[in-house]
Amino acid sequence: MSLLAICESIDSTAFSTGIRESVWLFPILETIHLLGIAVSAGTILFVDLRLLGLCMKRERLSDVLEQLQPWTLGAFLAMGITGSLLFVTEAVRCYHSPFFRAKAAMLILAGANALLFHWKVYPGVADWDGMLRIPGRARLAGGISLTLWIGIIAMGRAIAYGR
Amino acid sequence: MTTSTKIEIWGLGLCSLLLAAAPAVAHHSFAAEFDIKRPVKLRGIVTEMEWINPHSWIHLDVKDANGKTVSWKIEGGSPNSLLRLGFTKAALPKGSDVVVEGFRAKDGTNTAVGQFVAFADGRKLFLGGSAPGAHGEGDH
Repeated sequence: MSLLAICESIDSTAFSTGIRESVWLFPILETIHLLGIAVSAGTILFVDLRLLGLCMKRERLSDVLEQLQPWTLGAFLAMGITGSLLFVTEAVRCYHSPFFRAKAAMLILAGANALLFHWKVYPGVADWDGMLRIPGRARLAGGISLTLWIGIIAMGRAIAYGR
Repeated sequence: MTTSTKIEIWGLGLCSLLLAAAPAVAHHSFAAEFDIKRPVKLRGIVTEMEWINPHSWIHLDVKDANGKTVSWKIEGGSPNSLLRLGFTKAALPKGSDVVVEGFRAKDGTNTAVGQFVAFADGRKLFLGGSAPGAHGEGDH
């Protein structure tokens, strides 16, 4: 079964039609999705800027990261669930959208970047926690994350506007 | 130049590219997708009413000047905004004889954004989409 055929069968389910034709559910999902982006990308932004040494310079990296992380993950979960439900209402259109494809690719890259950072770089944080100029690999992870999240938001917006 | 500085510069360049590319896509606002200078008044028979998010679509069979039947797609507001303007899901059953006023799409297809739909009995419903006047404000 091809990816397109899967998308077609998703679109034709009663579940998809129900959300697509809903009076309140769809706008509520959109609202929660945007709030999820605001909180997750917003908290990610501040961690990335701290990694780059551009903000919250008086705080230890671990203080910034560990206090924001539950908000990032919780909001990411809300964003992921509502995003999946919105996808289900127009799977075929998303399949054909170059913006959706770019966004999906960037989400995967952002996830891989975050995992790599947490597995390979962050365990050594004790050595440079209080420093402003932290190891290049950590700054690189912050720069990549920042770039990808700007891209994800730009592409997400474009999905709604593109044909 | 250190490696990370180079990467930061590349990152900034990529961001600028993405931001510059975004407005170039077919924009969903009225002005980019539809032409205010090409108002359209269509009398036709409803073949389908798509009551869907984020925009509803009315499909109309319209007889053109030569008597040929042409299919048109008319964009309206979301189900939520239609409901608030007095529409129901059953407001436009198949076969309804209606007049729709709106503005043509810039891409030249038989697509338009609707301001309102008028029924044979004189009732009129605003379409709540992005067209000026579609919420019942203004002259209509």
